[in-house]
Amino acid sequence: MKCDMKCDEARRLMHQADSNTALPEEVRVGHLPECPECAEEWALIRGVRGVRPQEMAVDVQAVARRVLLRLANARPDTARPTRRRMSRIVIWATAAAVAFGVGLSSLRSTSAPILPISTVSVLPELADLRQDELNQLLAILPAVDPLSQPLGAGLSDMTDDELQRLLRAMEG
Amino acid sequence: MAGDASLTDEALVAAYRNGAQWAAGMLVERYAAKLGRFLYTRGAPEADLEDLTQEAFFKAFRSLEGWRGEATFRSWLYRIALNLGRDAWRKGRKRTQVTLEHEIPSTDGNPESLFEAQETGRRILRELGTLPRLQRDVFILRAQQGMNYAEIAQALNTTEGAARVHYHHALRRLKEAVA
Repeated sequence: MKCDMKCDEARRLMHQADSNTALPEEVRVGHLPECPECAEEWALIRGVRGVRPQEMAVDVQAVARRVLLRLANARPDTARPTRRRMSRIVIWATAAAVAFGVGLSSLRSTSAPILPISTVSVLPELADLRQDELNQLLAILPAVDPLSQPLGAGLSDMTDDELQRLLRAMEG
Repeated sequence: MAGDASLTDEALVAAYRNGAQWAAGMLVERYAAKLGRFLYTRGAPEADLEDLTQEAFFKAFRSLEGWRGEATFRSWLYRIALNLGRDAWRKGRKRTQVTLEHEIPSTDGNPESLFEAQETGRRILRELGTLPRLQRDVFILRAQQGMNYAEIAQALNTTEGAARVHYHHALRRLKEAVA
Protein backbone atom coordinates (compact mmCIF):
# COMPACT_ATOMS: atom_id res chain seq x y z
CA MET A 1 0.00 0.00 0.00
CA LYS A 2 1.33 3.42 -0.93
CA CYS A 3 1.42 5.75 2.07
CA ASP A 4 0.78 9.46 1.75
CA MET A 5 0.47 10.06 5.47
CA LYS A 6 2.99 12.26 7.19
CA CYS A 7 4.72 11.11 10.38
CA ASP A 8 3.17 13.92 12.45
CA GLU A 9 -0.33 12.77 11.56
CA ALA A 10 0.57 9.12 12.16
CA ARG A 11 1.98 9.99 15.60
CA ARG A 12 -1.10 12.00 16.50
CA LEU A 13 -3.28 9.00 15.70
CA MET A 14 -0.97 6.60 17.55
CA HIS A 15 -1.24 8.66 20.73
CA GLN A 16 -5.00 8.97 20.36
CA ALA A 17 -5.50 5.25 19.97
CA ASP A 18 -6.44 3.41 23.15
CA SER A 19 -8.44 0.38 24.15
CA ASN A 20 -11.60 2.00 22.80
CA THR A 21 -10.12 3.46 19.65
CA ALA A 22 -7.97 1.06 17.69
CA LEU A 23 -5.19 2.37 15.51
CA PRO A 24 -6.67 3.35 12.12
CA GLU A 25 -5.89 0.97 9.28
CA GLU A 26 -4.25 3.69 7.22
CA VAL A 27 -1.60 3.96 9.95
CA ARG A 28 -1.39 0.28 10.81
CA VAL A 29 -1.05 -1.18 7.35
CA GLY A 30 -0.30 1.99 5.40
CA HIS A 31 2.24 4.05 7.31
CA LEU A 32 3.96 1.84 9.85
CA PRO A 33 5.35 -0.80 7.45
CA GLU A 34 6.97 2.00 5.43
CA CYS A 35 8.27 4.11 8.32
CA PRO A 36 10.65 2.37 10.75
CA GLU A 37 10.81 5.47 13.00
CA CYS A 38 7.06 5.49 13.61
CA ALA A 39 6.96 1.69 13.84
CA GLU A 40 9.53 1.80 16.66
CA GLU A 41 7.61 4.51 18.44
CA TRP A 42 4.39 2.52 18.14
CA ALA A 43 6.12 -0.52 19.63
CA LEU A 44 7.17 1.60 22.61
CA ILE A 45 3.69 3.06 23.02
CA ARG A 46 2.13 -0.41 22.95
CA GLY A 47 4.75 -1.68 25.35
CA VAL A 48 4.24 1.04 27.98
CA ARG A 49 0.46 0.76 27.67
CA GLY A 50 0.76 -2.92 28.42
CA VAL A 51 2.35 -2.15 31.78
CA ARG A 52 -0.29 -2.43 34.46
CA PRO A 53 -0.69 -3.76 37.98
CA GLN A 54 -2.67 -6.87 38.87
CA GLU A 55 -6.32 -6.62 37.93
CA MET A 56 -7.59 -5.85 41.40
CA ALA A 57 -4.75 -3.58 42.54
CA VAL A 58 -7.07 -0.59 42.23
CA ASP A 59 -10.71 -1.36 42.95
CA VAL A 60 -12.31 1.64 41.28
CA GLN A 61 -15.68 1.24 42.98
CA ALA A 62 -14.07 0.92 46.41
CA VAL A 63 -11.91 3.99 45.77
CA ALA A 64 -14.98 5.95 44.66
CA ARG A 65 -16.93 4.91 47.77
CA ARG A 66 -14.11 5.84 50.14
CA VAL A 67 -13.37 9.15 48.46
CA LEU A 68 -17.05 10.14 48.58
CA LEU A 69 -17.30 9.11 52.23
CA ARG A 70 -14.24 11.14 53.16
CA LEU A 71 -15.51 14.13 51.20
CA ALA A 72 -18.91 13.88 52.88
CA ASN A 73 -17.28 13.84 56.32
CA ALA A 74 -15.01 16.71 55.39
CA ARG A 75 -17.75 18.63 53.62
CA PRO A 76 -18.67 21.09 56.41
CA ASP A 77 -15.18 22.56 56.27
CA THR A 78 -15.25 23.09 52.54
CA ALA A 79 -18.90 23.97 52.13
CA ARG A 80 -18.76 27.14 54.18
CA PRO A 81 -15.22 28.41 53.79
CA THR A 82 -16.23 32.04 53.33
CA ARG A 83 -18.60 32.11 56.29
CA ARG A 84 -16.03 30.52 58.56
CA ARG A 85 -13.33 32.91 57.41
CA MET A 86 -15.64 35.90 57.86
CA SER A 87 -16.59 34.93 61.40
CA ARG A 88 -12.91 34.62 62.26
CA ILE A 89 -12.20 38.04 60.81
CA VAL A 90 -15.13 39.59 62.72
CA ILE A 91 -13.90 38.07 66.00
CA TRP A 92 -10.36 39.31 65.47
CA ALA A 93 -11.49 42.78 64.39
CA THR A 94 -13.80 43.10 67.40
CA ALA A 95 -11.14 41.90 69.79
CA ALA A 96 -8.59 44.32 68.33
CA ALA A 97 -11.08 47.20 68.61
CA VAL A 98 -11.87 46.32 72.23
CA ALA A 99 -8.17 46.08 73.07
CA PHE A 100 -7.48 49.41 71.41
CA GLY A 101 -10.40 51.07 73.23
CA VAL A 102 -9.35 49.72 76.61
CA GLY A 103 -5.79 50.87 76.05
CA LEU A 104 -6.89 54.32 74.96
CA SER A 105 -9.23 54.80 77.91
CA SER A 106 -6.47 53.72 80.29
CA LEU A 107 -4.16 56.33 78.80
CA ARG A 108 -6.77 59.07 79.15
CA SER A 109 -7.95 58.21 82.66
CA THR A 110 -4.56 58.10 84.37
CA SER A 111 -1.17 59.55 84.03
CA ALA A 112 0.24 56.72 86.09
CA PRO A 113 2.14 53.96 84.32
CA ILE A 114 -0.21 51.45 82.69
CA LEU A 115 -0.34 48.27 84.68
CA PRO A 116 -1.62 44.93 83.53
CA ILE A 117 -5.39 44.71 83.86
CA SER A 118 -5.13 41.92 86.38
CA THR A 119 -3.46 44.30 88.84
CA VAL A 120 -5.61 47.39 88.27
CA SER A 121 -9.07 45.92 88.00
CA VAL A 122 -9.39 44.34 91.45
CA LEU A 123 -12.91 44.83 92.71
CA PRO A 124 -13.18 46.67 96.05
CA GLU A 125 -15.49 43.93 97.36
CA LEU A 126 -12.67 41.41 97.12
CA ALA A 127 -10.59 43.35 99.58
CA ASP A 128 -12.95 42.36 102.39
CA LEU A 129 -12.82 38.63 101.67
CA ARG A 130 -10.90 36.24 103.86
CA GLN A 131 -8.19 34.00 102.38
CA ASP A 132 -10.35 30.85 102.49
CA GLU A 133 -13.21 32.73 100.78
CA LEU A 134 -10.80 33.93 98.12
CA ASN A 135 -9.61 30.36 97.60
CA GLN A 136 -13.21 29.18 97.18
CA LEU A 137 -13.84 31.91 94.64
CA LEU A 138 -10.70 31.03 92.68
CA ALA A 139 -11.74 27.39 92.65
CA ILE A 140 -15.03 28.11 90.88
CA LEU A 141 -13.52 30.49 88.30
CA PRO A 142 -12.79 28.99 84.85
CA ALA A 143 -9.34 27.42 84.53
CA VAL A 144 -8.35 30.01 81.92
CA ASP A 145 -9.88 33.39 82.49
CA PRO A 146 -9.24 35.54 79.43
CA LEU A 147 -9.77 38.67 81.49
CA SER A 148 -6.79 37.80 83.61
CA GLN A 149 -4.59 37.89 80.50
CA PRO A 150 -2.97 41.20 79.52
CA LEU A 151 -4.83 42.50 76.48
CA GLY A 152 -3.02 43.05 73.20
CA ALA A 153 0.02 40.83 73.31
CA GLY A 154 -1.93 37.78 74.51
CA LEU A 155 -4.63 38.10 71.85
CA SER A 156 -2.53 36.61 69.12
CA ASP A 157 -2.06 33.46 71.18
CA MET A 158 -5.76 33.00 71.93
CA THR A 159 -7.97 30.50 70.16
CA ASP A 160 -11.31 31.43 68.61
CA ASP A 161 -13.04 29.90 71.58
CA GLU A 162 -11.05 31.98 74.05
CA LEU A 163 -11.70 35.13 72.04
CA GLN A 164 -15.41 34.47 72.04
CA ARG A 165 -15.36 33.92 75.80
CA LEU A 166 -13.46 37.16 76.17
CA LEU A 167 -16.04 39.05 74.12
CA ARG A 168 -18.92 37.49 76.04
CA ALA A 169 -17.26 38.43 79.32
CA MET A 170 -16.78 42.01 78.16
CA GLU A 171 -20.39 42.29 77.04
CA GLY A 172 -21.50 41.51 80.46
CA MET B 1 -28.08 14.02 34.50
CA ALA B 2 -26.22 11.87 37.03
CA GLY B 3 -24.29 9.11 35.35
CA ASP B 4 -24.07 10.76 31.94
CA ALA B 5 -20.72 9.61 30.58
CA SER B 6 -20.70 12.34 27.95
CA LEU B 7 -20.29 15.08 30.55
CA THR B 8 -16.91 16.78 30.35
CA ASP B 9 -14.55 16.92 33.30
CA GLU B 10 -15.20 20.64 33.60
CA ALA B 11 -18.95 20.08 33.78
CA LEU B 12 -18.47 17.42 36.46
CA VAL B 13 -16.19 19.67 38.49
CA ALA B 14 -18.74 22.47 38.26
CA ALA B 15 -21.50 20.09 39.36
CA TYR B 16 -19.41 18.90 42.31
CA ARG B 17 -18.72 22.46 43.35
CA ASN B 18 -22.48 23.00 43.40
CA GLY B 19 -22.88 20.12 45.80
CA ALA B 20 -23.41 17.14 43.46
CA GLN B 21 -21.47 14.30 45.07
CA TRP B 22 -22.22 11.94 42.17
CA ALA B 23 -20.07 14.16 39.95
CA ALA B 24 -17.03 13.39 42.11
CA GLY B 25 -17.90 9.70 41.88
CA MET B 26 -17.96 9.89 38.10
CA LEU B 27 -14.56 11.55 37.95
CA VAL B 28 -13.13 8.84 40.20
CA GLU B 29 -14.58 6.14 37.96
CA ARG B 30 -13.23 7.91 34.90
CA TYR B 31 -9.63 8.20 36.08
CA ALA B 32 -8.91 5.85 39.00
CA ALA B 33 -7.71 2.87 36.97
CA LYS B 34 -5.61 5.03 34.65
CA LEU B 35 -4.10 6.90 37.55
CA GLY B 36 -3.31 3.62 39.30
CA ARG B 37 -1.53 2.35 36.22
CA PHE B 38 0.40 5.59 35.89
CA LEU B 39 1.53 5.44 39.52
CA TYR B 40 2.53 1.81 39.07
CA THR B 41 4.55 2.51 35.93
CA ARG B 42 6.09 5.47 37.67
CA GLY B 43 7.37 3.11 40.36
CA ALA B 44 4.83 2.93 43.19
CA PRO B 45 4.50 -0.49 44.86
CA GLU B 46 1.36 -2.38 43.99
CA ALA B 47 0.29 -2.56 47.63
CA ASP B 48 0.16 1.24 47.86
CA LEU B 49 -1.70 1.94 44.63
CA GLU B 50 -5.22 2.03 45.99
CA ASP B 51 -4.33 4.25 48.93
CA LEU B 52 -2.33 6.61 46.74
CA THR B 53 -5.12 6.80 44.19
CA GLN B 54 -7.71 7.46 46.87
CA GLU B 55 -5.57 10.12 48.52
CA ALA B 56 -4.89 11.86 45.21
CA PHE B 57 -8.60 12.14 44.45
CA PHE B 58 -9.45 13.26 47.95
CA LYS B 59 -6.82 15.99 47.87
CA ALA B 60 -7.78 17.03 44.38
CA PHE B 61 -11.43 17.52 45.36
CA ARG B 62 -10.57 19.17 48.65
CA SER B 63 -8.25 21.66 46.99
CA LEU B 64 -10.47 22.55 44.06
CA GLU B 65 -10.48 26.13 45.31
CA GLY B 66 -6.87 26.35 44.17
CA TRP B 67 -7.60 24.74 40.82
CA ARG B 68 -6.92 27.11 37.97
CA GLY B 69 -9.54 26.80 35.26
CA GLU B 70 -6.96 26.88 32.50
CA ALA B 71 -5.51 23.53 33.58
CA THR B 72 -7.55 20.39 32.99
CA PHE B 73 -8.88 18.43 35.94
CA ARG B 74 -6.81 15.45 34.79
CA SER B 75 -3.54 17.40 34.79
CA TRP B 76 -4.45 18.83 38.23
CA LEU B 77 -5.13 15.34 39.55
CA TYR B 78 -1.90 13.88 38.17
CA ARG B 79 0.10 16.75 39.56
CA ILE B 80 -1.23 16.02 43.03
CA ALA B 81 -0.60 12.30 42.55
CA LEU B 82 2.99 12.93 41.51
CA ASN B 83 3.59 14.99 44.62
CA LEU B 84 2.03 12.30 46.79
CA GLY B 85 3.99 9.54 45.15
CA ARG B 86 7.51 10.70 45.85
CA ASP B 87 7.98 8.43 48.83
CA ALA B 88 6.22 5.59 47.10
CA TRP B 89 8.67 5.63 44.18
CA ARG B 90 11.53 4.87 46.52
CA LYS B 91 9.71 1.92 48.03
CA GLY B 92 8.76 0.77 44.54
CA ARG B 93 12.36 0.43 43.47
CA LYS B 94 12.47 -2.79 45.43
CA ARG B 95 9.79 -4.23 43.17
CA THR B 96 11.05 -7.40 41.58
CA GLN B 97 8.10 -8.57 39.52
CA VAL B 98 5.98 -6.62 37.10
CA THR B 99 2.74 -7.64 35.54
CA LEU B 100 2.16 -6.91 31.92
CA GLU B 101 -1.08 -7.18 30.12
CA HIS B 102 -2.01 -6.29 26.63
CA GLU B 103 -4.39 -3.40 26.40
CA ILE B 104 -4.11 -2.27 22.79
CA PRO B 105 -5.90 -4.69 20.47
CA SER B 106 -3.31 -6.81 18.75
CA THR B 107 -2.53 -5.41 15.35
CA ASP B 108 -2.59 -8.77 13.65
CA GLY B 109 -3.99 -11.26 16.16
CA ASN B 110 -0.65 -13.00 16.27
CA PRO B 111 0.35 -14.41 19.71
CA GLU B 112 3.98 -13.69 18.89
CA SER B 113 3.08 -10.06 18.47
CA LEU B 114 1.49 -10.08 21.92
CA PHE B 115 4.55 -11.73 23.43
CA GLU B 116 6.80 -9.15 21.77
CA ALA B 117 4.72 -6.32 23.20
CA GLN B 118 4.96 -7.83 26.69
CA GLU B 119 8.68 -8.33 26.39
CA THR B 120 9.04 -4.78 25.12
CA GLY B 121 7.01 -3.60 28.12
CA ARG B 122 9.41 -5.30 30.53
CA ARG B 123 12.41 -3.71 28.90
CA ILE B 124 10.71 -0.33 28.79
CA LEU B 125 9.92 -0.52 32.49
CA ARG B 126 13.55 -1.33 33.29
CA GLU B 127 14.83 1.47 31.07
CA LEU B 128 12.32 4.02 32.39
CA GLY B 129 13.96 3.70 35.78
CA THR B 130 17.22 4.97 34.34
CA LEU B 131 15.78 8.09 32.68
CA PRO B 132 15.89 11.55 34.27
CA ARG B 133 12.71 12.30 36.19
CA LEU B 134 11.13 14.70 33.71
CA GLN B 135 11.91 12.52 30.69
CA ARG B 136 10.34 9.56 32.45
CA ASP B 137 7.22 11.44 33.55
CA VAL B 138 6.70 13.08 30.18
CA PHE B 139 7.10 9.80 28.33
CA ILE B 140 4.62 7.93 30.53
CA LEU B 141 2.05 10.73 30.44
CA ARG B 142 2.33 10.99 26.67
CA ALA B 143 2.74 7.39 25.54
CA GLN B 144 0.72 5.56 28.17
CA GLN B 145 -1.84 8.10 29.32
CA GLY B 146 -2.34 9.78 25.95
CA MET B 147 -2.01 13.31 27.30
CA ASN B 148 -1.18 16.14 24.92
CA TYR B 149 1.80 18.37 25.58
CA ALA B 150 -0.31 21.18 27.03
CA GLU B 151 -1.74 18.85 29.69
CA ILE B 152 1.68 17.36 30.39
CA ALA B 153 3.11 20.84 30.87
CA GLN B 154 0.35 21.62 33.37
CA ALA B 155 0.81 18.38 35.26
CA LEU B 156 4.58 18.74 35.52
CA ASN B 157 4.69 22.51 35.90
CA THR B 158 6.80 23.01 32.83
CA THR B 159 6.29 24.37 29.31
CA GLU B 160 4.87 22.61 26.28
CA GLY B 161 8.16 23.09 24.44
CA ALA B 162 10.14 21.54 27.28
CA ALA B 163 7.69 18.62 27.48
CA ARG B 164 8.10 18.00 23.76
CA VAL B 165 11.89 17.99 24.05
CA HIS B 166 11.80 15.64 27.05
CA TYR B 167 9.54 13.26 25.17
CA HIS B 168 11.88 13.07 22.20
CA HIS B 169 14.93 12.53 24.40
CA ALA B 170 13.13 9.75 26.25
CA LEU B 171 11.95 8.22 22.99
CA ARG B 172 15.47 8.16 21.58
CA ARG B 173 16.90 6.56 24.71
CA LEU B 174 14.16 3.95 24.87
CA LYS B 175 14.50 3.11 21.19
CA GLU B 176 18.22 2.49 21.67
CA ALA B 177 17.62 0.38 24.74
CA VAL B 178 14.76 -1.69 23.39
CA ALA B 179 16.05 -2.18 19.82
